[in-house]
Amino acid sequence: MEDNDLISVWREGNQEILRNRKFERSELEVFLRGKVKKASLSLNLNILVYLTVQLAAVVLIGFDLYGYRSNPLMLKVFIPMLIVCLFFLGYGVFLLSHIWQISHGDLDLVTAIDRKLKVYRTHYEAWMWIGAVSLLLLIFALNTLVDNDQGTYRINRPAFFATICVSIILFIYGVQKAAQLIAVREIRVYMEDLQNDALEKSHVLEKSRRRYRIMGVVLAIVGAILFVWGIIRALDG
Amino acid sequence: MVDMVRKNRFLQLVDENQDIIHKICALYAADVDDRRDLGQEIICQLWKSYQSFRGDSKFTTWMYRVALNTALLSLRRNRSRVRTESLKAHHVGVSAEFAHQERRGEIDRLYDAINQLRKFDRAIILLYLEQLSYMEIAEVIGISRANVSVRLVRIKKKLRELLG
Repeated sequence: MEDNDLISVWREGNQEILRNRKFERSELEVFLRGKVKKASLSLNLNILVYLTVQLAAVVLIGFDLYGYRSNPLMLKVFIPMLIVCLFFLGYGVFLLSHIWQISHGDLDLVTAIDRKLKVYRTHYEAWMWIGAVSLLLLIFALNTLVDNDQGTYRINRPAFFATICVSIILFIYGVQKAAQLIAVREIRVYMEDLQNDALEKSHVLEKSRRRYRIMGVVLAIVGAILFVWGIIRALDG
Repeated sequence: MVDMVRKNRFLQLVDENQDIIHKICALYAADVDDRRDLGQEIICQLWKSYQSFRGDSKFTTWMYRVALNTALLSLRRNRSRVRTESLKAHHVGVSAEFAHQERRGEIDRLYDAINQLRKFDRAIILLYLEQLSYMEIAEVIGISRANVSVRLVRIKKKLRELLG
C-alpha cells in the first residue's frame, strides 16, 4: 500500500467513526466542570496525604507547645519540630505546584516525560524521606499530647525508642521507594521507547507488571497474617 | 467577563477541532466508556493548558500535543483494560454500514496494523496520516525533524509488513 493509499484509507475509516461521535457543545461545558484529572494521581495523592500528616502534626505540636509551656526542655524539642514541619509543608506545596506546571504546561511529549522523571529522581526522592519523618513527628506529637503528665514526658527506654523511630522512618521510606521504583521504571520505558529505536520494551514491561501484582498480593497476605498473629500474641501476653 | 469570552473562544475551538480528540481516543482507549473518560480528561487538560497557550504554534498542533500527552501519560492507569483489539472493535461497530466491502477490509487491516505498533509509534503515524508536516510532528513529539523522518520510514515499513 502506497503512502497516499494509507492516508486515503485512514481518512475514510475516520469519516465513519467520527460521524457518530461528536460531543455537543453542552457536553463540552460539562466536561470543563468535571474533575477528572487522574494522571499522576498516585503521586499527587501521596503528596496530599503527607501534607495532611504535616498539617495534623503542626496542629498537635501547637497543642503540645501549650501543654508543655512550663517545660523548657520540651519547648526546645517542639519549637524545632514546628519549624521543620512548616518547612516540610512549604516544600510539599512547592512540589505540588511544580508537578501541576508539568501536567498543565504546553510541553511536548519528550519534555513532559523527561521532567516527570526528573521530579521522581530529585524532589520526590527527598519527599519520601520527608514523608517518613513527618509521620514520625506526627506520632511523637500525638504521644506527647496523650502522655502529657503535668507538663512532663518520660521516655523509659531511650535506646528502644530510638530504634523504633529509625525503624518507622526506614519502613515508611521503603514502602514508598518500592512504589516509586515501579512508577519510574514504567515512565523510563516509555521514554526509551520514544527516544530510541529499541523495540518491545513496553511489551516486556506489561508482563513484568503482572509479576509485581502477584508479589504485592502475597506480601499483603503475609503482612496481614503477621499483623493478626501479633495482635493475638499481644492479647495472650 | 474576560474569562467568559476566553472560555467561549476555547469551547468554539475545541468544538471545531474535536475530531482530533476522537481520533486519539480511538487509538488509546479500549471501549466506549474508556473513550468517553479519556475524551473528558483531554478536554479538561486542554482547558487547563489553554491558560498558558500563547498562540506560538497552530491551535491544532498545540491540541495534538496536549491531547497525546494526556493520553500517553494516562495509559498507566488504564493499562489493564487497554487491549490491542481496541481500535478494530471500535471500528467494527460502525463499519457494518459500509457499502464497499473491499474498502472496509482495507480499513480493518490498516487499523489492525496500527494497533500492533508501539504506543509512541501510534502517535507518530497518527500525526503522519493526519498529514501534519514533519516539523509539526517533531514539535508535538519533541524529537528532531530528522528523527521524525527516520522513525516514519521504520514505522511505515513495519506497517507495510503488517499489512502483508
